[in-house]
Amino acid sequence: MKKMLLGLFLIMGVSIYAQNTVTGTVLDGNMGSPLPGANVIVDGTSNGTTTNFDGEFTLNVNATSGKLKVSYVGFKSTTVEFNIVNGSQVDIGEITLEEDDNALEEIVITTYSLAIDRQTPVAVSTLKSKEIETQISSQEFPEILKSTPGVYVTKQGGGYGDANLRLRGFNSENIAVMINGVPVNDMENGRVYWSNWAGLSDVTRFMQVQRGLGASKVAVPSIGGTINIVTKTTDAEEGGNFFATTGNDGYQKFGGTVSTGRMDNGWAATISASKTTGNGFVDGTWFEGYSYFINVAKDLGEDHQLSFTAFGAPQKHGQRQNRELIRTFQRSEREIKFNRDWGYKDGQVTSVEDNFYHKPQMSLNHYWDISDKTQLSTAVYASFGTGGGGGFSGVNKFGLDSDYRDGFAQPVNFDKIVDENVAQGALGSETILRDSRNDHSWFGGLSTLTTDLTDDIKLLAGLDLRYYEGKHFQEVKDLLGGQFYFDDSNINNPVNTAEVGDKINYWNDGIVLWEGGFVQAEYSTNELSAFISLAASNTSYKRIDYFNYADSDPERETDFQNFFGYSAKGGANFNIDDNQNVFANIGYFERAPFFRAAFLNFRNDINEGAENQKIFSAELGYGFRSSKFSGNLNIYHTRWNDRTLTQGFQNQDGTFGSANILGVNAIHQGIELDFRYKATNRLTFTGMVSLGDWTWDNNVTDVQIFDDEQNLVRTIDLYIEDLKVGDAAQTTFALGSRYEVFPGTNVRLDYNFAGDFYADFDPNSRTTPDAPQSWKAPEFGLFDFGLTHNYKIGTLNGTIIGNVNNLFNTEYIADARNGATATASDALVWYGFGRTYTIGTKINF
Amino acid sequence: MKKISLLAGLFFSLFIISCEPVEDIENEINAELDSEPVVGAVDYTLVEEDYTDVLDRRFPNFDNTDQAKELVPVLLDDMFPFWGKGSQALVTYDLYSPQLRVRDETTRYELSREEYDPYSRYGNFDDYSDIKDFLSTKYPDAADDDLVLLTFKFYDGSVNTWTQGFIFDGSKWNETMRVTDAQYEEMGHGRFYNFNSQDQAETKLQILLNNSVFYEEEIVEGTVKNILYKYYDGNVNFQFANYIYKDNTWTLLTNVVPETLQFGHDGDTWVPDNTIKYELTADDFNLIANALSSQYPGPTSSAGNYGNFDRRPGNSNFWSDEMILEAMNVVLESKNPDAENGQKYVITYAIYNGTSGTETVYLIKEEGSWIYNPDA
Repeated sequence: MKKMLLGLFLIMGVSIYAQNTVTGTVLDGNMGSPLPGANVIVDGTSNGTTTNFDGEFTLNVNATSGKLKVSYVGFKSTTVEFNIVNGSQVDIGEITLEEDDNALEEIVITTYSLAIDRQTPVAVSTLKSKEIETQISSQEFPEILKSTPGVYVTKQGGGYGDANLRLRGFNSENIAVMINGVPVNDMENGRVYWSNWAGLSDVTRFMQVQRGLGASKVAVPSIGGTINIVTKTTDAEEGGNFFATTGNDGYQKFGGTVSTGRMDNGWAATISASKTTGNGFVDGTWFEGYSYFINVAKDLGEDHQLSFTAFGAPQKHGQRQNRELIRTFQRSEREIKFNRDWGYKDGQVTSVEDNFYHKPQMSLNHYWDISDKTQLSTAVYASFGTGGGGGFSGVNKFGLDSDYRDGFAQPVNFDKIVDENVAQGALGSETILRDSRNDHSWFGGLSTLTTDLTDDIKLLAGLDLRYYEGKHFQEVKDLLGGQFYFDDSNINNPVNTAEVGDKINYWNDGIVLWEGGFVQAEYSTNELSAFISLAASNTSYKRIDYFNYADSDPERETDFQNFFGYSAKGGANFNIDDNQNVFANIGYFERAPFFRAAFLNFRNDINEGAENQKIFSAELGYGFRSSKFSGNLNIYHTRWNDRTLTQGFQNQDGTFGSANILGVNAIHQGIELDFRYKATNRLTFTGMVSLGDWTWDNNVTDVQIFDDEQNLVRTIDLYIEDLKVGDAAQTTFALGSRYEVFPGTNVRLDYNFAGDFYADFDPNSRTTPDAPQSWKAPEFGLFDFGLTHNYKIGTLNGTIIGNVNNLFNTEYIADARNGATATASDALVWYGFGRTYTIGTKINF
Repeated sequence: MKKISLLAGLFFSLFIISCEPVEDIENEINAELDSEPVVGAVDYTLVEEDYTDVLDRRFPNFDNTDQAKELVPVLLDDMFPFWGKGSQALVTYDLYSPQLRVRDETTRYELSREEYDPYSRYGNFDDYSDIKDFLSTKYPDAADDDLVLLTFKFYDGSVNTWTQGFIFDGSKWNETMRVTDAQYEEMGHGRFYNFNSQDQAETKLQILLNNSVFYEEEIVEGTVKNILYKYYDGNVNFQFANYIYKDNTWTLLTNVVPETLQFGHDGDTWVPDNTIKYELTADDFNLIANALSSQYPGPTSSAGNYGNFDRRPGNSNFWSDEMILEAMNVVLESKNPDAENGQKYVITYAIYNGTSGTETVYLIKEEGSWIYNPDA
């Protein structure tokens, strides 16, 4: 309403003074699409307007010549001249705005460790909210990155949120994920569970993938790279949207976002929520997910800004945990959709394997401009997670040809299990469903002080403190008709007739303390920029075991085990001219072992002298930027030394001993190329080639392990030299095109290829010499098709978004684990999805 | 423009090469699946048609075990042509084993008009002793336990045609037991006073005998009773059922003995085979865990805990083939300590190799211990 009044006023105002009209269209230089809401102003005056939904503007001016300044958040402002020669009207045609990462507030870049084009010397790819919104469809959040060099993403079993991303051949333990600058990798095992952030795609402002060492200042496990997700905050414009999407296999998602924009009183708020449900492409992978996001920000005077963000994505979903032989999929009438992990109970779909989690994360960010030269950015955050994964306990009645299925590979007949448990009577249930719970409480603070020492040199220093407490136990979920479940795992209650909700099998806590500090110096001129960075952290682990140790046993709770890690990295970027830049970076870091390497045997058996993993990485890059073509070429070399290999044994006196074996090393190196080519204003091509050479480096043989009394316990021989690293496609390439068919209507065709994918294997299990490479799965290429169409209802702008993924319904193997013969006949695999689609609409207001 | 065509052309060629990457592997695996036999297991008892129709035998039994070994595979091939290697059949058949107290064939005789002449001029009998006299004359060389099923006319107020059984005891002919109308009624056949089949008669008469009290006769071990009964299969037929008193029970006496033999399919044909199929239970894993815990503390605790063998090489709980053989020896020594050398087993057990599954091993007992069967 305010806007309309303003417009009315403008029209009335100019009608008094002006006779002349300037018209034009503002375009997004990146996408080639119209930019609605861009500001067009007569330079040096307050006379201006904003573009309409089609990027068009009409501005009345009271002069016959002058300059128009065109600006939009996130884009470089541009100035164009106008000259009215004949009559009272001129059309100055299309004005293209180029993206400008520098347009982000500097404090955001610093706090969130973002890389800046032609300045930060790292390999980087950035996806904007618009690309995410139009391409995500029903895909998993990380799948949006599949056309990024070095990235291999799969849906794994296909459950909602069960996707897995590998970067340069490294798994999620070795990829740092940061949301608004806060590291979110699990504190104990380093992994990333994407289902926790399922709804975040709706409010993501952009997603930046920094490959290799990355720009993060805090000590994070960025062996493969860093993924920075930045959500909308105070930059959100006033207004909102509502969207609804439907798709294959009952997929339904609807939700909306409302933003106040930055109000005159300094407050800004954004609230977003959505609900997603469906049956899943894979049998038995039903899901129900919600997501919420709230951000409230307030400018306190000129120098302070406070921002509170909370988000979460409670979800539950059926899973496919078990990979199968290819022949099993072939034998099953359900083919690639086959899933052994579910059945029917009392006529209802019931999962053997399922998953439910809710890990809300809250953070309070404070930005303080202490002086012109000095800023302080602080985030304190907390996360309280509850959830777990389902499975069974007791007798395994779920084999493929089990009597508890109505035929080979048919769904499980739970009713038969229930009948047997009922008949068991006072003997208790034979088979039950249980949940493996992982609850956590996590608190952290991250503070960065930035100060300009000179015009060219900036110094950053900060603290990174974290406290994490994880609770791990199993509990009875469903007795499946029986009276109780007998469990003797708790030494303090060895005759436990457990009922629903009672803890069984194990119960232990993991406590992690983290104290980190970092300092970074940055030098920056127009041509040359460079940085050097040091970070150090102390990680402390404590384990409390309530089941394996008596309540009175002092060994029930361990002392904190401390591990010191550090990193040193540096790099420089040189802008050769306006089009070309080159950069290089180099780094070394030592990472503390994970919790599971600090304590062995699922007990409080302390692994004395657990070793750090050591990573060395170096990279060269070249960039080319022009209005029509931009491209990047990177060469990287990463050495990952002393992958954790621990052997436990018993000393003669019965005490526990362990040996940590060094020398399991891998080299990940490769070349990455990506480009964007704007063929015409309406047609853009994108492309990527990533050639990896990821191999295990050397055999580790004849390593003798001795117990405390110097008796030879065993000799270790690992034959891994020249074995290709498994579980990620070493060769990928992508080609994409976007074409504007009509104004407001765009189609998109993308092709993604993955090859040289070796089945997953554990190098620590390679104990026989001359064993072959693990099975190489067939290479595959997939097409995705997308369509967006803008429309208008009254004053509301709407967009229709349609997507078809795997357009040609290609059957392909996305995940594989190696078998004994390293062939297709005994590899355990998951097929990727067949053709899926979504169609939806989003209405902005 | 050239560049655009180039890129568009690239897309097109990608489309051409991106078809069905897994097809070759799937075709290969499907071919394997197609050539894989169906594996079945059956418990089967031969019926009369198997001997007479399928195997063209005159009598519903085999002469000896060797003949059964030769002919049962023919029958199994006919019944289960789609079953292949690894299939098993536990087959029960009848072996001909003539017993002294039962004659192969009962003599059936109906008197002609003239044969009554020595006893009556009306063409019938009117005195039972005449019948026995007739039999003595007719069969002067009768031996012990010879049975005659005689159809004759008898005057008892009016002339009736009767069929009755007679047995020779070495000196004279006696009438056999026969099922009375009251007994038919008692057994639920009171309407037509006959049985519906021979099998039914043999089953019910055994029950009848075992419920009967013999007041005038001492029943001793080995006593035989021949009972004459009627059954209807479109016509009314007379038949004897013979029972012997053994172990305080009346049991049917036949000229055949049932015998059971196991056959296995070796890929080409069915061969006699003593293989026993067995699947390890949770109890077996506990047994293994207890027996081998000192040698393999980690693997046994895993096996006992999860009820499977960890088959991930390099894992600290890994079970090698040799260790599994040890475990199989533990199980089989417990389950079948008296097994003879040459006894074969097919054992299936649960494993974990990243996914839960099963493996199957073939074992044979040689020189007192179980080894992997080299011929399997």
